[in-house]
Amino acid sequence: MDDDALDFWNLYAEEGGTALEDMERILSALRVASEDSPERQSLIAAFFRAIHTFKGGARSMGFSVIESRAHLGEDLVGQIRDEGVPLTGELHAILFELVDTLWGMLHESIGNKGDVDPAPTAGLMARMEKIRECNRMALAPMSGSGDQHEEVTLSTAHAEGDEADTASEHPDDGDDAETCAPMVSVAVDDEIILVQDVEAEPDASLALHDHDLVPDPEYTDPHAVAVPEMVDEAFIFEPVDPGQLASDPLYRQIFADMARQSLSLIHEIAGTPGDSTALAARIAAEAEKLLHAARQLGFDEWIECLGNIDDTLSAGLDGLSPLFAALVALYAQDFPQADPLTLVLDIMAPGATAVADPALDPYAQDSTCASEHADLAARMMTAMGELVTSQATNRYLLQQLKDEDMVRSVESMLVEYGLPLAGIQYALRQYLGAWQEKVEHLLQIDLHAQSLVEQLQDVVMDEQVKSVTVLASALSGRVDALRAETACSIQLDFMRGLDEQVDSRTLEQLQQCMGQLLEVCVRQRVCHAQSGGPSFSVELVRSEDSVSVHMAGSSCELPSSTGDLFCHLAQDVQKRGGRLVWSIDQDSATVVFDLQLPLTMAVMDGMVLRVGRIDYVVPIAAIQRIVLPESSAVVQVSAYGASHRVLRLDNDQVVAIRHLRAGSVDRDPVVEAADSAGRQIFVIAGKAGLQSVAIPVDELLGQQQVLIRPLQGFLALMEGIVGCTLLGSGNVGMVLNMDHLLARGKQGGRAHGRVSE
Amino acid sequence: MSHEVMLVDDSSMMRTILATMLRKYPEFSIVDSAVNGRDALDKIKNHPALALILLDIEMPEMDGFEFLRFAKLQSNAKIIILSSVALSGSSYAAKARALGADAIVSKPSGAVSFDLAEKCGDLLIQTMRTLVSQ
Repeated sequence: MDDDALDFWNLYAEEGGTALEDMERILSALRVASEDSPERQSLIAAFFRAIHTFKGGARSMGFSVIESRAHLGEDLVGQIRDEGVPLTGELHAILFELVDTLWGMLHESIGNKGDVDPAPTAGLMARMEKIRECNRMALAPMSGSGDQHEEVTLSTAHAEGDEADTASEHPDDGDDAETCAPMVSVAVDDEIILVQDVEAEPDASLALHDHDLVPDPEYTDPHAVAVPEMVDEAFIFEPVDPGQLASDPLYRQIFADMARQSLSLIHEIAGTPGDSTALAARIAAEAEKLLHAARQLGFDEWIECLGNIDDTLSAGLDGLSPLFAALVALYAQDFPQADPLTLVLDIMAPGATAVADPALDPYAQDSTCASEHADLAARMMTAMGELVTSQATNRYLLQQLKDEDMVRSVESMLVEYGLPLAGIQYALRQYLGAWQEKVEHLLQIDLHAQSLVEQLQDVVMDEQVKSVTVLASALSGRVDALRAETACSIQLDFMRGLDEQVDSRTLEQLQQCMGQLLEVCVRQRVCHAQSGGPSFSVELVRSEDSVSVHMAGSSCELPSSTGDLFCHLAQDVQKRGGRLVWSIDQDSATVVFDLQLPLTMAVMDGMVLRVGRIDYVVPIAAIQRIVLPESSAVVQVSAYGASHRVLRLDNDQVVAIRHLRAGSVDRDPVVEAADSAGRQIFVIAGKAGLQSVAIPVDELLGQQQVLIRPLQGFLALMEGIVGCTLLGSGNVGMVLNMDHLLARGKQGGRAHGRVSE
Repeated sequence: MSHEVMLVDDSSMMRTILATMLRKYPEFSIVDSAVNGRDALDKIKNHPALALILLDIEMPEMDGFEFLRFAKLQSNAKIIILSSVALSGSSYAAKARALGADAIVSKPSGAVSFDLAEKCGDLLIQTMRTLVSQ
């Protein structure tokens, strides 16, 4: 016997023994598992796999007798697993008997080095075959059973006999072992069928329902398509239409998971410092995987988007933002989830919450409680923001219903179809009027609920938002501790910003970052009580999406090695989505820090605009006017070799036109939707001290209170976008950074030049 | 050129039989094997040049049909369902086709007492050759 053959024998013995042990264990467990036990189905599935494995082993060895016995057992268990046949006591017993028989066959075949004699097990085979056939007949679809309840006469029967026997031959009687006992013949609409009834009594009568006869009437195989006849037990299929694969829910789910992971990974890679060529190659590789999956499922929009990634990346990572935003929008469109905002944010900022380096922050432990509190408040804020959004959606739908003149619609239909309008007009008007009243009532309730949620939101905002004086007080405590420790006279003064309000999480991050800066400055400087100490002046400014701190320290002779520590701190700030720059002037013994951190979240009233397929949100406070000017009001301005489009308003004010694009503002000239007269809607936005701009839009979708989540990491680099939010329509909206938009307006405004019509 | 092949079958015996059989065909090299769909899913990413997956259906944890979907989306490999239950006209065969399997072949048998390659290995090898040449 060669080595291969010896291996096979060993594997056959080992795997066969293991499978039979599994079968015994499962049968024992099934004996005690109750009928409705959830583990029962998994036990039966495991038994099926075990006997399937045993059969495969016998087949591989060429032992057709053993294979046939195991195959029959597999069929019986398959009927239980897949077709709802109950595992009766008799079936259970015969499976035990089969396992005992298979043990004997396994040993015999190993001893003989060959197949076994079929004769001793022929009786068992016959009994099992009868049960299988009886089950098949019982499961066969019935025709003509029109009545739901039929009185029928029962008599127990041999499954394969032409004549029905009497029930006195009980299935459990020893000499009746070869009958398929738990069956009764039932006459339904002149057809004789067999159903299982272990409790059957002679000459009993029973009312049967259709569902008693068919184990699982709702079961249909979703993949039951015709398959060509195979030849010689092998067949190569024609490629399947991608649309067919895409109709499979599990395929769609797998793709959605892949897309989510790929987008997160691409986002993470793009935000990683390093060689941009290498990063682009990694991104391209990841996109290629997703592209392959999209091709398999025929997702054309994904294919088109991902197919452009090589071209996009050839110009570096800068061009990735719009493409990435388009992919995220595609994801939100194709895989709508119960909680789209969370979903999109997960893609955009996986693990965005930065963790401070505890080695650099001895006070980190003390802030644990505050942090938990901030987490709680943040979660409440998110929940309420989404509540508000849900209500905005409800209100939008209700408003649509309310605005629809149903009476007129129905009257038109009646007239159109020539029905006798007069006879039913009054009743119809009454009915529809009552319906409309209910919608109005619902709308009122919804408005009331919204006001309650807004009140609640205000309460939590009060809790969540803190004055900067809290920060000043915390830092003052830290300065006191340092003063006592180093015996230096240290001064810290807030020159500006104490009246600002900032959310507590951002405040906590500011406290950590500024505390670390102070620590480094004080500890790295050799302080002596006699030489006096460093003094720091702080100016804090809060914008819509971030908070900036300018901290200048005097009498801070710092060694050059301090730069490494500041680099470390800058990296920590970067992880939090912020920025830290500094300069040290050794001669004047001064150090200046500029620290910027994003606000964790904010709620604002916004106007929702649509440009192309993308929804944007403009803060209501920044909107000055909304106009629909004549097309002639849009003029081209040439100045210093460049040209700009501007809008001339009716008060002779001229404002620069800024186009919106996902991931950028004012990047490419576009043609927004215009009416038949060539007119277009413009939103005039501005702020004190900054020149106004005109934003051309396709559609005004309405006013809404929105919960803004800032974009983190790589996405924070998207020009002109502060964050994203879930809109009442269910879409994700990009919240515009008005400072950025208006600052560009200011630059454009400096270009005085010739105006051409 | 040797085409990379992965075996996915919970039966170690079947994996051994297939490996033994394929050893005779240098045009195919088995680069990995897995004991169920979940195991295969973990391993498939290590083999970007995988040409063929020989896949059983009945397996614990993740069966062949579920793995088939993942493999189809994550790999360029052609997938051959190798099963004793997925025979002509069966619902298994229909499902395999509907889910995008490339071929279906009955499991080889007679490993010890008969000439495996001659009996049914030929069919498998023919199918493998056809698929890799497509």
